[in-house]
Amino acid sequence: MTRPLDLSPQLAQSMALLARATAQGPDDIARARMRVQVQARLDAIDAEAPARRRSRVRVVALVAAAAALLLLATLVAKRPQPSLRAIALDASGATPALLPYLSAGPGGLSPGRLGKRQRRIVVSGTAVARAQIPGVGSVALVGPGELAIRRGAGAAIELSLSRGLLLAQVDPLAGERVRVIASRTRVEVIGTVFAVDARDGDRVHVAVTRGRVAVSRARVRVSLAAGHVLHGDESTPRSNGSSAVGRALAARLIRHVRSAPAIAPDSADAVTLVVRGQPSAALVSLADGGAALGSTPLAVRLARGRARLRVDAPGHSSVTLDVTLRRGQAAEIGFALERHPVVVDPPRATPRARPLRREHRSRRSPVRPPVPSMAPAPAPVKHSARPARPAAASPSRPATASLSRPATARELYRAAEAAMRRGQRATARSKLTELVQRFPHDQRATSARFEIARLSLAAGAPDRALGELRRMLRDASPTHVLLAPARLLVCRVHLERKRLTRAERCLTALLARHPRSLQADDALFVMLRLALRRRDCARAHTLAARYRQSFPRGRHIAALAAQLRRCAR
Amino acid sequence: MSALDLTLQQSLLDLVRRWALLASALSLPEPRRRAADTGGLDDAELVTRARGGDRDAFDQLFRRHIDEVYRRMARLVGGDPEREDLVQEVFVHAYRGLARFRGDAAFSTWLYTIVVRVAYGHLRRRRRRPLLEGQLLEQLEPVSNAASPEQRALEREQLLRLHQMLARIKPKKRIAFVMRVVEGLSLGEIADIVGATPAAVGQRIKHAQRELEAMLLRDVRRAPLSLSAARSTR
Repeated sequence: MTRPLDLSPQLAQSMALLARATAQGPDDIARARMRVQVQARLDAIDAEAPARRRSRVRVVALVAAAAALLLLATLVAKRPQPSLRAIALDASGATPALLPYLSAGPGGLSPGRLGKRQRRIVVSGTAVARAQIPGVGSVALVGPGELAIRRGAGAAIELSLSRGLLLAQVDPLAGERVRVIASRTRVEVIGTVFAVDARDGDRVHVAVTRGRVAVSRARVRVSLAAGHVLHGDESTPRSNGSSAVGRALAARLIRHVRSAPAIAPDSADAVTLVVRGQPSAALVSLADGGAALGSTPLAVRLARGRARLRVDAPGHSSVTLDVTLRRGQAAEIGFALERHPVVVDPPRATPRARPLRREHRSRRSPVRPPVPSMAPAPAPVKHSARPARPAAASPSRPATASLSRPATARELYRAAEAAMRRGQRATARSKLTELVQRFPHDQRATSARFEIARLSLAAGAPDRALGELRRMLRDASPTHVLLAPARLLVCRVHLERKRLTRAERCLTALLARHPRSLQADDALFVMLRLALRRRDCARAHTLAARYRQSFPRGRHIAALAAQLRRCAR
Repeated sequence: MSALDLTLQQSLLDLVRRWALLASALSLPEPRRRAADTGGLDDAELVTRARGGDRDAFDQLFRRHIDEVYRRMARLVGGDPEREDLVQEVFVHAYRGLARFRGDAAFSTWLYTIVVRVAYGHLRRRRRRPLLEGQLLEQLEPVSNAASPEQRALEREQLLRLHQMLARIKPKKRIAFVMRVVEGLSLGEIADIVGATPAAVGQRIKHAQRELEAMLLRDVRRAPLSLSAARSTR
């Protein structure tokens, strides 16, 4: 219930006066005036009602059109890009010795294509997953790690690295902007080869072996050139070779580039090929280029046309498969590799190289496996494997069940690596020589020739080193990552043989061909020393200035001043 | 022509103008849909007809409620020269909002909410540009015809002071206080009209009363002698 107000007499009197003053309504004139004006305004309202309705309809139509445009733009912006849908993933089966980051450990992913919603790669333990992003390049994730691939702001492809080591090779002509985000570090890249190491929490290391990337971290932007590494707690790039982390990352990147698979981009010309057979987890590679595609069972996108695949498995003979891929037809091919027979160690008197030569001859035998039939036949077609290694059995010795001799290029390379770790350079060289002779078209053959040259030079055989290097330079693809190191090795051979003029010409050519490579740093410094040796101080100063400009944080920047002091004297 | 003739002529012209206005008001153009007879219908029926486009029905509503709307507007905004415009605004708002009138309350109550809303908006605008004392004085209503000229002058002055004091308090408080004291509405009724809780309305009234009392006290201290007292002492 509302209580009456207790007003003061003055206020009550004033309010009563107000009530009295406003008790009367308007006079007739005022009333008539108001009526006329109200009627006029109502007429105007009625007259403009259709126009208002029309304008309302127009506004609604405009809003609807704007909403439709916005929706369309959102759909276009959020439309999953074909390149992301067609990410090809392989997480198993590579040769661990040569491609350690491709080997699948426990918990490795099964090979296959990532689905529309499966753009997150998680690898556990020491497993390594490799993703081929058509039109962009390839990445390898070293476990334990987690990587999400998505289309980010500004239509850039964002690789969010939660943990692990990411090795990336981005095609400079891909036309896609690629960004890697790891913790608070952002790496902007257009065409390069680089690594992002997020295994150490917030301390993210970035290393580059080709091209240039921009690293943003805590409002600091650092441009990182080839041959440099940026450590997690530093803001100044250093040379790759100046730290253990940089060296390790650079080495891994070289391996990553070396093993980049030749998977076709996701275009209308690409055809899905399924490879399966016995034994499982066999390594499938392109017989021509030698690039590893993955392990069986394998689904891979290849360009249409004829393709020659090579299948290797430990303890089994290799096989070469010829397939013809037609547009719009998924193909499936099967194989069955023959297991190697039990071999008997050869007698001691047998020269070590002879079996290799015999093997080499046997490989050249005209016996070829039959060309496998193609899909749509679902049943795998069995092929008789090419006899890759003869049974060097001797009836004079008891047969011992052993697989002591490596059967595949991968095993040979692993054996060579093991020998090198033990310091047995001769054994390593012989294994690599065997690899080169038996598998001249394998992707490891190029690397093996380089290693043989290196070992030969160390053993004091520069002529043999030069021969291997020339063969390697002749056979390697123009983009092979070991070209620059091989050319530098050639220059070193000339230096060993005291052919200084030729060595300088060689170094000049190397600088012209690979100006931003890791070897350009060494080449420039060696040229400077050669100039000093000739007492050509003007040339030495010119080279020093060039070195400082090209490699301001190079490995020899400190030694440069000491060398130039000789000119001062 | 003498000055008296001129004054007489102007008065006649003014009278003619007024009669013409009244005549035009009485001979309004034909409404689009004319009802047969709207005089005996109640408000709800008139609203229904007006909603259907019958301008005669709305005109009948206008005739019925113009006095009450005018009175309430005059109490809420005081002697404001825009008072008539505000009344027109109320009816225009009502015409536009007829489709939203559900008939839960009486049409007069619904109209009153529009009066309060229009008055509140006007008072808010007016606080930013207050009226001069002369403008206010011109618009003050004649309080009583029978009183002596001194009494009328005193009442006009008192009314002027009250309007000036009301203009200094916030519109929400002013509206609630006037509705409670002058209109005699309960807190619940005021709360329904202004769209607030009864407690909030009570607080507004209490604060308005306190502020007005304080202003009156200051006024008395500043000018202890009223106009009549001053005249009587002269």
